[in-house]
Amino acid sequence: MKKTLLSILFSVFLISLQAQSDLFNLENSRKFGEYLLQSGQYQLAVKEFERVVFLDSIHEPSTINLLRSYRLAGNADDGLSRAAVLFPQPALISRNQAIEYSKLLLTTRNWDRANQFWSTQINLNGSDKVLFKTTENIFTDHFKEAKISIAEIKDTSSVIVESYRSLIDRAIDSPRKSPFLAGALSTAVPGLGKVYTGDWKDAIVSLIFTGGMAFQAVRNFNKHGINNYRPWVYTTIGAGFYLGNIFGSVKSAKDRNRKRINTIQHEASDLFNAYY
Amino acid sequence: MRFTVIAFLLLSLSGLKNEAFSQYSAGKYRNMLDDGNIKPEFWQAKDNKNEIQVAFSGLFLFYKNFMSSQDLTVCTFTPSCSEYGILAIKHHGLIKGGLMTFDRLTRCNGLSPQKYEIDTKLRLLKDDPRNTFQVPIVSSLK
Repeated sequence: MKKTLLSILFSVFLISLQAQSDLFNLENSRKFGEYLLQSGQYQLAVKEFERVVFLDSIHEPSTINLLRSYRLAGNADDGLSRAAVLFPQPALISRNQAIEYSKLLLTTRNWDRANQFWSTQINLNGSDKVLFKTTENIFTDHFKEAKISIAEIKDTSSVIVESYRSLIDRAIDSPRKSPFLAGALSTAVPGLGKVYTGDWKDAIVSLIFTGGMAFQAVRNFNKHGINNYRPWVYTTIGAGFYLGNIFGSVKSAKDRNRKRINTIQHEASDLFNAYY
Repeated sequence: MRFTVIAFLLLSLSGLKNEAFSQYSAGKYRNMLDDGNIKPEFWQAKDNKNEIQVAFSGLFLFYKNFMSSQDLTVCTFTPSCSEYGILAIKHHGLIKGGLMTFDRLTRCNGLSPQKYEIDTKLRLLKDDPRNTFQVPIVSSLK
């Protein structure tokens, strides 16, 4: 009986000891922050990791998780401001911290700061720097510069490098629609520029609108003469449609080129995010 | 027969709870449907920065209140052509914005929906003069 009682009391004592452990200590806070990050609660993860980094600003994974939380919460600008305080000397931070920092810079498209960072960083290896620079060139539509940049990596076994090379070649070689030619064609015949860019349905509508207004203008000039307001109303609206169509043809060619580039940039984004 | 019907109605009235007639109860069912008389506010016509924007915002409001309000919602885009026009003039100036608007009027035909992203809520094609889409570089998931 005594033994049973003692064992029960001892168990209760152990449970009370366990219950008194600090739930909010550094280790538990880190675990909770990681849980928030993994479960997609990024705003809360920012708050938790801010607390963790306040308690221990040296711990490398915590600083990375804090910056990642800012980025995933959609506050990349705040993340960069926070990084400036966390890393007084960005050139000296570790490779993993530098990668997360680079992701923040790429997210905000802060190219000047990114180039300065990549050129001075000592822990990023040469391939990393070239890949970041190439990514920048791809997303700023500088594909020729991207080709020169990626050529610095001689390794042909790397999947990302070879894939980057392939899509850069595709971007350079793929046919483009000339905005100037589209505009010129639409100047000659309303809608022809849009036929050239492939938007032939819009082209037909443009031709009907402009042609209809021109027809009405001529008809009203013949009927009422130049001193009547009617033909001038049709002339003004028709001229608007005519000029708008020239502008629209140029825009259509640019949009078509833009979509082609966007497809390539989406592929580049997939490759980048699969690698880093 | 008449007596039976009247008696039935009177009896059914007595069976109703009093709260059905009370003011409180009637208030519960008020505002269940949108009030059609609420005047829509057009934010596109606000925050004008110069006289041209004021003039075109006035034209836009006149069109919206007196003409468009009497018509069906037939524009295939969001923002609609008139909203596109005022936004284009505000963001790109009178000349470029005007040309963009004329171009948009010819594109508002619903024949090429594959060219545009669809607003899933409004079920309309997206075409905003203010936005220039940029492909996100870094994933927002990892």
